Amino acid sequence: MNAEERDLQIHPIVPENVVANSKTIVDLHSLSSSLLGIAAGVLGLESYSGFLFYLLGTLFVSFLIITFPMGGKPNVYVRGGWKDVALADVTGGVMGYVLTWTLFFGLVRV
Amino acid sequence: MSRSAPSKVLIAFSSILLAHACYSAHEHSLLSTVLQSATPSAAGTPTTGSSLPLDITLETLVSVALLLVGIVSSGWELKPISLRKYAGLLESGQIVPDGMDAKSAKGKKKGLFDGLEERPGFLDIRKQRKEFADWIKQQDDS
Repeated sequence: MNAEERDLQIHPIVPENVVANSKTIVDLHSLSSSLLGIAAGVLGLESYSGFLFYLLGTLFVSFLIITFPMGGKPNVYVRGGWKDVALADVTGGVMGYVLTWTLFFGLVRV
Repeated sequence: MSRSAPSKVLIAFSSILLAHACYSAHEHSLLSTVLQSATPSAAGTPTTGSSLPLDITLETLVSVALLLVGIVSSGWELKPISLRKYAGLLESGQIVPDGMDAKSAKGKKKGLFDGLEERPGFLDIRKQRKEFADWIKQQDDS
């Protein structure tokens, strides 16, 4: 029995809550990435600056998630702490972001 | 998830702001193309996409930031993952377990281990045997 298993036995966790929390966080990230895409399209960002904007926006959203629903204590709600909040479903978020980014870029500048 | 009133107002206000910023950016790009085709001196210069005025840029950034704040702060419920904390919150009634709303959970025991406290009473096996015998007799008569 290694150290992590022993820690789990001493401090047991509720797996349903872990799943529900990570689902909520992924939902928030995908929703906010679409909104960030709208902003990037309106601003007319291109190539690297657009992805940099996404990165900054996701960090901002993670900060908000840690501040508001978690009350500044990510370790209570997520096993990996703030890293799990920031890195939750990055690829899916980028997909939604690029989708609305290109859509609004085309809508605004035609 | 129950949305609180301030975040609802914030979401509505910043959505309007974002829509306005979007429309302004569209108008600006339309205006610049029209102006460029109207004035022959500027017709040679290529259209620059990222020459948005500062106020539209600021409006977009502020509206998206406010919208994100409004969405994230609108009552998303997260549950603590450690069993100790979760069971404590359940028993004190601060969290209602899944499949129960606040009204039906009132008055009931809500802790994780309260199922262990309840057990069915003893079975009256003689009475059941008598009932069964009566039933058999009834079947035979008919």
